[in-house]
Amino acid sequence: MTPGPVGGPVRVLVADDDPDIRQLVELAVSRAGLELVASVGTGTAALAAIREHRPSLAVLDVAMPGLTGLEVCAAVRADPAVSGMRLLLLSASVHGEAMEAGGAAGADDYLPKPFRVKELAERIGGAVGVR
Amino acid sequence: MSAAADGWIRRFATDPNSVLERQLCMAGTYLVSQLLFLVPGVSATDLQPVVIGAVLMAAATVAALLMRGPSVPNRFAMIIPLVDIVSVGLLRAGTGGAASIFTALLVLPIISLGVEPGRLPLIVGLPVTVAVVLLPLRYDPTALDGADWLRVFFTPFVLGLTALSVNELTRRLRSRVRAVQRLRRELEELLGQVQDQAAANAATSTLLRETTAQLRSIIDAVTEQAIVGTDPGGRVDVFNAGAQKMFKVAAHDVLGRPLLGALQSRDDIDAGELAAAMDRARAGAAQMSEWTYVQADGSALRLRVAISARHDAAGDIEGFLFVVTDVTHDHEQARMKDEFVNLISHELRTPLSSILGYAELIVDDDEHPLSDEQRRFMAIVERNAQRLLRLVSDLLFTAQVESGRFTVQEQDVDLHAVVRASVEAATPAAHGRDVRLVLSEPDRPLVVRGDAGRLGQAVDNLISNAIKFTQPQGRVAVGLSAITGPGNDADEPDRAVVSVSDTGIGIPADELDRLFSRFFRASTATAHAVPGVGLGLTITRAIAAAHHGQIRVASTVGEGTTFALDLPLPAQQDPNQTLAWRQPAATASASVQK
Repeated sequence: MTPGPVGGPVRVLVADDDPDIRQLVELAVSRAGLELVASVGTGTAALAAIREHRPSLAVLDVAMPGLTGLEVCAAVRADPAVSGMRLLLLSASVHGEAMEAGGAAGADDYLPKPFRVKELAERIGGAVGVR
Repeated sequence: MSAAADGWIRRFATDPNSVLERQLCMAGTYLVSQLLFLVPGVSATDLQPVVIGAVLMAAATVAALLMRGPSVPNRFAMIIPLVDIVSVGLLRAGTGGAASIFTALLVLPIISLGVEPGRLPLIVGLPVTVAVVLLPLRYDPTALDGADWLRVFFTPFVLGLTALSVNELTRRLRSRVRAVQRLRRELEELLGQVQDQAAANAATSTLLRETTAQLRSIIDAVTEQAIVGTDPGGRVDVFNAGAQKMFKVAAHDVLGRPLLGALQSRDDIDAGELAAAMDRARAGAAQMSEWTYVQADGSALRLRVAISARHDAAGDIEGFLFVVTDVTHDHEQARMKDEFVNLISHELRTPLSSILGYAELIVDDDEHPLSDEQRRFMAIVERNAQRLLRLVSDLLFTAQVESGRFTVQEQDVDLHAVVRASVEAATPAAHGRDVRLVLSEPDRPLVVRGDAGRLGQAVDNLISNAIKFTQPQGRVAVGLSAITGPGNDADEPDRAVVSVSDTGIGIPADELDRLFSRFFRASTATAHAVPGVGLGLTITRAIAAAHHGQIRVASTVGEGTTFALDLPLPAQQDPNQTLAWRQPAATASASVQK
């Protein structure tokens, strides 16, 4: 397991309502050498898991039931306990405004679907400073 | 004017000057005077001239009757008083000559003669009168003895003066009659003109009323658009039925009031904006804008407003016209369409993400390497997934263009890099179809303002089309060049052109106009079963337009097609500038070929 910046393993949360995509992202996390702490299918569950596990990075789908990925981003940034974590959004939307909305909600990076697993693994590693 | 006065004027103005009337008066007086013979002491000294005179008087009266006919010239009328003078002269000669009591009768024909128009009757009448005065000598040689010979001159002189006076008075009277007649004619003409003008005015008024009513009915028949007219100061003077329905305001509550003040509820438009729009309309250009109008019940209408200036016949601005269309429903439909397209896009891209992702995992699985055949099959899976992904992206992009949401993030774009990347990306496909792909580019850098990704997409489309439509052993030439517009310095080109020429199947000339329409496919494409849905060129043209450029096409069936993407260059570029992307070994013509 790759150590994080403070010595412990880098912990990652994955949230996507599509189980197939979620499994792909989990594989990318694994290939990046990071620890998967939770993998959930709704925004509400993602926010709860973030507050519970306090991961270094969350990979969030934008369109999820319950809270959207954008709303989870905004809630994280508004919560001092977890506001410093890294957030990476995935979305099947290719609108420029979708990316802008992600940035405005506090996301650190944005990757449109479909993506190459290899590229996602690199982005995940890059987001937490692990290459 | 009374009927009696009108009749008098008619009679006076027509001036009948009837010789018959005068002759009847003369003959009547002559007959009455014959009663003098009953007075003792009055008798005929010689009966023959008296009888001849009476016959002549009768003859003159008959002639006067005959002269009423229209074929008799007026100038012959003077014969009647002349005959009367002779008749009275004979009566005078037969009743004592100079001493005859009937001498006074001479005054009547003399006056009648004077009434005749012109001086000729006077000239003729003078010798006749002298002869009549001398006539008693024929019957009594002593008639002019002593001082009586003076009568020969004095009597005609006095009678002549009398006739001259009458003639002059009559002449003046006639001239006045003519003046009155002329005035009457002019009056009648004026009356006619006034009547005609009044009739024309009435017709014009009727037409104007009908036209106004028709215009009003047309304006009020427009119930789905609001038509609002204002004076130059912005006060409402027209508020049609459509406006009352749309704004839910009665016309009488609005007319005469400033437009913005009259509409009770409004949003996102203020007096400054309205004044600016009116100023632009005043300058001559119709203004289109969209307003949000919040109704009294709180619901919002999205309105498209066309503002134009109204001009009077002299060309001066007499106000403004606002034609307002409620596009709330259109906006809602566009929003739903956008949502639908986004949903479909999302739902298609998500499974494609899985297909491509897991295909990638299978292919890149070092622990379980695939056989060559399996790799070939997986390549087919990935290629078709990518094809489907492109189709979804194209549909989404087309929807964006249609909804006006396609915008370009401008930055400096190196066209050499764009073209080279496209050629490089298309090389495998060219190899696959045994098509020679050639690139030629100039030494000078060519940098445009725009979106590198979109420009690359446009060039990709053109090259991929060219390869698809070119038979094996054919050739696709990609060129980059700079051109100079008329009147510009040749060293300062103002446009860059990316051209893609192929030796393919070509496009019929009558299909070139439709080539850029959505989903249009050339007949040669369908005949040769070239895959595609007809969105690539629509997208390419939209990208060109978004970059203030254009795309041109020339084609000959069986020989090939050339597309030219024409893009404006920024005002000034340094031809000696060296860009980081340039490869040291780059030459004026590079080629990528099989």
